[in-house]
Amino acid sequence: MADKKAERLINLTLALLATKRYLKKQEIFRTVNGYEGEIASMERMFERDKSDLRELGIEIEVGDLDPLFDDEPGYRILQSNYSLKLPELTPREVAIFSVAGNLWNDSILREEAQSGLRKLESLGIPNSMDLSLQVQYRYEHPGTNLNLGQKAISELRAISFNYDSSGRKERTLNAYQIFLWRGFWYLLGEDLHDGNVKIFKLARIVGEISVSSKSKTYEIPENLDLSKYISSYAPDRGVAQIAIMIGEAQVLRNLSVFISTVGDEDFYEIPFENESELFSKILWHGSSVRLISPPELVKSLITKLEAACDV
Amino acid sequence: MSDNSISKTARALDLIPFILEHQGITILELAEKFGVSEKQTYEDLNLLFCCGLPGYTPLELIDMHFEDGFVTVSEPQALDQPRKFSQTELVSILVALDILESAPSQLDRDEIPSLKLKISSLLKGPTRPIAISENKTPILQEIESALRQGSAIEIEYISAKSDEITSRQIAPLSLVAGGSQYFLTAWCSLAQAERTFRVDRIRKVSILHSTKFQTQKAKDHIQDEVTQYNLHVRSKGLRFIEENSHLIKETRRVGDGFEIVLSGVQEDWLLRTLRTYLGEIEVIAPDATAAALKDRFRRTLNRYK
Repeated sequence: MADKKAERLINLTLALLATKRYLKKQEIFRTVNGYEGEIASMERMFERDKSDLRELGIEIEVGDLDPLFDDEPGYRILQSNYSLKLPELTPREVAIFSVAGNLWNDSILREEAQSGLRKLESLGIPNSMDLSLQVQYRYEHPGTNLNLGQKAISELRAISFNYDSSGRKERTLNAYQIFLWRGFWYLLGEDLHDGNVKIFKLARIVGEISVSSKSKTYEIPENLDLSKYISSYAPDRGVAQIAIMIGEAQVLRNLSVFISTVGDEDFYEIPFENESELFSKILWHGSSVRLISPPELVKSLITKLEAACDV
Repeated sequence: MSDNSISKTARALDLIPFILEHQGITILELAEKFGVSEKQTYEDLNLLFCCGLPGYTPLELIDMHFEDGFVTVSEPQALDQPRKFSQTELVSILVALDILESAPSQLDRDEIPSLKLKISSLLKGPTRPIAISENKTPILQEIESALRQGSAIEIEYISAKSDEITSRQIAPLSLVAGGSQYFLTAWCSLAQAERTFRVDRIRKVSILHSTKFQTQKAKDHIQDEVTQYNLHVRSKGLRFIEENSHLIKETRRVGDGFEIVLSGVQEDWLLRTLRTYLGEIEVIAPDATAAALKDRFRRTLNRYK
């Protein structure tokens, strides 16, 4: 089936790339294949298309036409903004680049890394480095929030988002840096609510980060010492109480603190970071383990188990 | 990445410069290169075939041939250059370089810093995403050195399944970092098969001299391993695919998730693992496994009644 939208986006890109002068909206509507219907609906279409192309990293330049005749802006894509400019790389650097791109082979970052390598190949640089690494990496995909966060940092715009935590949900911060640590992505920034610099886990941000429209509203401190913040970061959100059948679930006992024995069960306290991580730990042991507290998590676990039984 | 119009556009824009550098490439090779099906590649090419510059006469359209399965582009219009790297592409390469710098490999690392600097210059912003490397536990270091030397080791392992500490002789094959855990895949002489061990459950490592590596036959670890399991994984269960990609034979995108085919696992392990995902992963086949999983949920639930 033909994809009308993809076709229009490609035609628009081609038209804006090929033009030497700025194209006015009217010209685009008249000449680029795919724009049809009422003026108002074409306007909406064009606005969406522009933002879709921006999402692909394609920068559309907006320029003024001759002010004597027309005050409507025009559009074009500069080839120099569009195409890949590779810094001079030594042959060894190219080889390392290729190894780095292949590092993600079994992970979901694979898609991005491979598309990067394909671009090198499109310049005639082969991707032939066959170095077997002893460690394979399968880390979580950072998702669109990495892009949004990095964009905010690059333009020094405040961000806000909903955070899955026991405390305040809505957070607004000046982001400093994104980092990958122990297999997960994090964001370091100043919480504008209390002025403290804190670490946030990207996976716990609910939905998309929203980026402020004002740029350059803060400065990132010089000599930012990430390690200082990491060493004081305590992800544990709470302590749960569990009951383990006597003699069972050794692995879980290793992670917990013994409290007492009652009947045929041993009671333990176990630190946890979030609901799904806690559930995952105890469900592995099935009916050998029972969650005692916190009560709201017990309730949530029962609801989920009931749902799973009915599937 | 979901295959919507936007990602289709991205792929189409990248196809032309790639083909220009690889004229005569087959549709199959292109499909493999771009990580999509042959049918999808054919559709992508057909899409490009209809595009061009305003006017859209034969002279203004992208001109290409692929009827015989070999792809050539004779008129790329304005698409002769590859697009610049996206932010995520740059980040994926930079973070990989951070990891490479501290990872065990035969790679000569001298030029990693200069390459990082050059790639960073393409990324906007006062700070860039980095990967933080940490001190490795002595156990992990010993495993890495065994891998480097290709030597067998003896380990003490806390088995989550049988809940006991066993001593096994294993020949390490690969180490996988997934989430915050390391997983070691090795030939296990006890099981007489490949097994995956969680490194944080290994209590002791000692290097074996190859002559001492035993190949005794195990009794009970081999059943169940040829059964194929069809699972439906919803988006919240994606971690399962990540951590077990070496067991997965087929992956197909459906709706909000994936359908996967898996084999080479013990049913008890699978049921325990699936239980930790609550309803996020469903067993489609065999029916007996689906029923067994439901039964386990029921038994766990009964503890609360």
